[in-house]
Amino acid sequence: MIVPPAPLRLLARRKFQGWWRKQLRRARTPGGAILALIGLTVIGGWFAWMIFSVVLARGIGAGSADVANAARGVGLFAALFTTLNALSMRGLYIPREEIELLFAAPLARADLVRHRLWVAGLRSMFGGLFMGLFIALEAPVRAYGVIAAVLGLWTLAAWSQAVAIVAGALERRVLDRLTKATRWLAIGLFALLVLGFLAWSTSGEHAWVSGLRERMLQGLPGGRLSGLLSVEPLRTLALPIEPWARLAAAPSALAGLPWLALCVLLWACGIELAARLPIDFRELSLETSSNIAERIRRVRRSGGAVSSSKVRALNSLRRVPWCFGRSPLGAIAWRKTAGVVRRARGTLFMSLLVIALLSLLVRSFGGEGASAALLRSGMFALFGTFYLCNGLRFDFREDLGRLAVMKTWPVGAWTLFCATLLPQWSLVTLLLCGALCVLNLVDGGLSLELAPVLFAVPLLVAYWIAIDNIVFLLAPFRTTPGQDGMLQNAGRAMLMGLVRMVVYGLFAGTIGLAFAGTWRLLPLAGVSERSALALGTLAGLGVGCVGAAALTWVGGRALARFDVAREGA
Amino acid sequence: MDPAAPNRPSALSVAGLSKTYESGGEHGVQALSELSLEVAPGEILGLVGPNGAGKTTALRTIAGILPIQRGAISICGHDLARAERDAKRCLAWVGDDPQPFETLTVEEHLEFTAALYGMRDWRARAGELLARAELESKRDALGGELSRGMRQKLALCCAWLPRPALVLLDEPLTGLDPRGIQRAKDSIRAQAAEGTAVILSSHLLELVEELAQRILILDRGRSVFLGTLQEARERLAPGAQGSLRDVFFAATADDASGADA
Repeated sequence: MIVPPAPLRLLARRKFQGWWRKQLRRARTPGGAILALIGLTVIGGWFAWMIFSVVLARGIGAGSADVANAARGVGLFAALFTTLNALSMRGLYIPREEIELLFAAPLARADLVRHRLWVAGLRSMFGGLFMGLFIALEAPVRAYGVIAAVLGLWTLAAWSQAVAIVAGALERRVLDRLTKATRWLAIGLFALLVLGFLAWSTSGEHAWVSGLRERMLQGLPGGRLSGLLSVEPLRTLALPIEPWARLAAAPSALAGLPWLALCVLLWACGIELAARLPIDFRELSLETSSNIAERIRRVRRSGGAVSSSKVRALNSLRRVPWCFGRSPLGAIAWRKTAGVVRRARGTLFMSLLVIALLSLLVRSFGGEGASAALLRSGMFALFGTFYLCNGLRFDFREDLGRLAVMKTWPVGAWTLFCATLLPQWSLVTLLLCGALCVLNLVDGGLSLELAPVLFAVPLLVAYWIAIDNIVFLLAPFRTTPGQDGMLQNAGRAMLMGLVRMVVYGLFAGTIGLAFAGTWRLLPLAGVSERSALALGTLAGLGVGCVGAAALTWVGGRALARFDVAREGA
Repeated sequence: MDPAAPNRPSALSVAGLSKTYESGGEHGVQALSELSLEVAPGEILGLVGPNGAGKTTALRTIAGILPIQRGAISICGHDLARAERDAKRCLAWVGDDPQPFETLTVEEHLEFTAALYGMRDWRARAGELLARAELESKRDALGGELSRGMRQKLALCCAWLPRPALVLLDEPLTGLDPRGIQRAKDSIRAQAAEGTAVILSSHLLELVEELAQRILILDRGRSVFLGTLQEARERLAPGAQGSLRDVFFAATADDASGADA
């Protein structure tokens, strides 16, 4: 019943064998083998450490109530996330290269759902085990912690599949028939309802609201969700997760058996419920499959982050300013600026998120005085450079498939290198400098100590972007979802990351050394503190500019020798 | 226009061009071997050959996408190796699968191309090209929204816009509908009439036969024949009154591949 028919089982088996063969083939070359070994060491070591922690945690385990609450919290979060995700992925998702073949094959649609859920279940094993090990750290019976997590994930997959099918059908039958005005009216009414509830819950002295506020302000003790889950309404909301929570918290193997049986039964029922829904999901599935394929294609083309988000037609009406002039360099930079402007929503969201999180992080470094303020600003600049440059990526990654055409443009290689990266550099530098000024103003006003950091930010950003892109041009590689060679990818990402960090450290360290050396040594020769600071900044700036020029030259060389046969790497 | 007229400066001059891909085995793969040719302004040269003959490698090397391993390329008198920027200002390239920028509209692609080639008054010509390609209604459409055929049309418009001296077209009609094909053919002829030299690489032999004044047949990296279709008939298929197809099969058959033009 819940098992898919023989042809689909064969397909799953063959695909797994094919995947395995590919892994082995990739590991046959010396490079592939080394990368696989590094990847295996990283992933294996991490997993081994997790298992080791579980074994060592024996005896330290918290009480059953705490474990159950933690499981409820994790379950509630996962259920919420999965349900929201299911609403945006309507119908049955089957990869684009398979969907037409499977829909045209003599197979029942229910069997396709079963097949999909089994495959999804097997694919989520790794995540399930990982999550299970976390729960097992404190579970009285370790195995139950892992089993509860795995079974919970599988049941959640069945639930989200059912939601995706039902929501898709509802959307077709109801939402699509509504006029635009009615749809906006419905959204407005819903928003009013939510606002009304919020107003009601915060105006009166509702015990649970004050309890929740208290818990939130106190924070979650030991990183556990147990505190939050003692709040009554959330506990009620988490009721459907009870069987898995009870299984994870079972005090003994025998006591957990009924819960185990119930969890297995719920999983089987979940699969059958999703499979037997009397809804024709073919059209929706084709749409979903095409949307997801398009999303993956965008990520493959752009290398992820904000630059892989979809540009909506409405945004094309937004004029793109020619910030860098109308020369060939300005034109190339303008083309990249269009990406920033037309993906403004994503850009803004990512910027605010990173800046807000970083502000919270650096504020935890206390201390008074100029040195502490300098340290906080410096940390903000360093971490900000790293996170913003990775989040707001408008670089050569999204142009990998177009490098052949770009090489025919009538500009020099280093001009092309600079012009392509100019908008990203300008954006991140402006954001960081602006955020630093605002933070310092909030903290009591701008001081002279901020000047060296403000001067260093453009250089740090330039270094990171240049090094990141030079490494990419020398070894072009983009990790994308569903890509083959998990072990090699992990190994390669590790190696490339290491190379970037080392080179960046060397360059940034040289600026720091020039600045700190001048700042600290000159006062010994009788130069005033302020003059030493100014001279130190100048020294750092000078050394930094030389480094930036060197990196630009290297970038131009890397671009010139880039082999377009590697396109799509 | 007579492309074969003497004393006319070449739009393109290639001498002894060779290219070996190192990754193709113990001794690498010889993609091009001693290729030499001249293309006059206003001439359309058809480039044909079986798969793996070296057509795309030749075009990519001439476009400056691949480095020159051996030989020399001169575009409008500018040596591609020494004066790369000047040479590239004289050429445009349209690949077999154009990838427009997803964040730019159709009109902005032309604006960008104009700025890249230092054109000031580009709007009138852009409007004319868009109208000719039936892309006027798509002015504000984003690159990512265009169909395969429209992408191809846009790439051709961008190529024609700066009035380059040399245009390299690699399978330019893929994805176009019959009307689009006719329009593209007309635009190739019109640009050539204005003095642009065109190298047209295609597997559609009828298209090459219809447009090209001379043909270059490549096989396994070597030039098998370079000349007019009439000369090809006389040389490769004597006595035949056949089409380019017949000549092509005669030229690229195993026993004929050794012949050198």
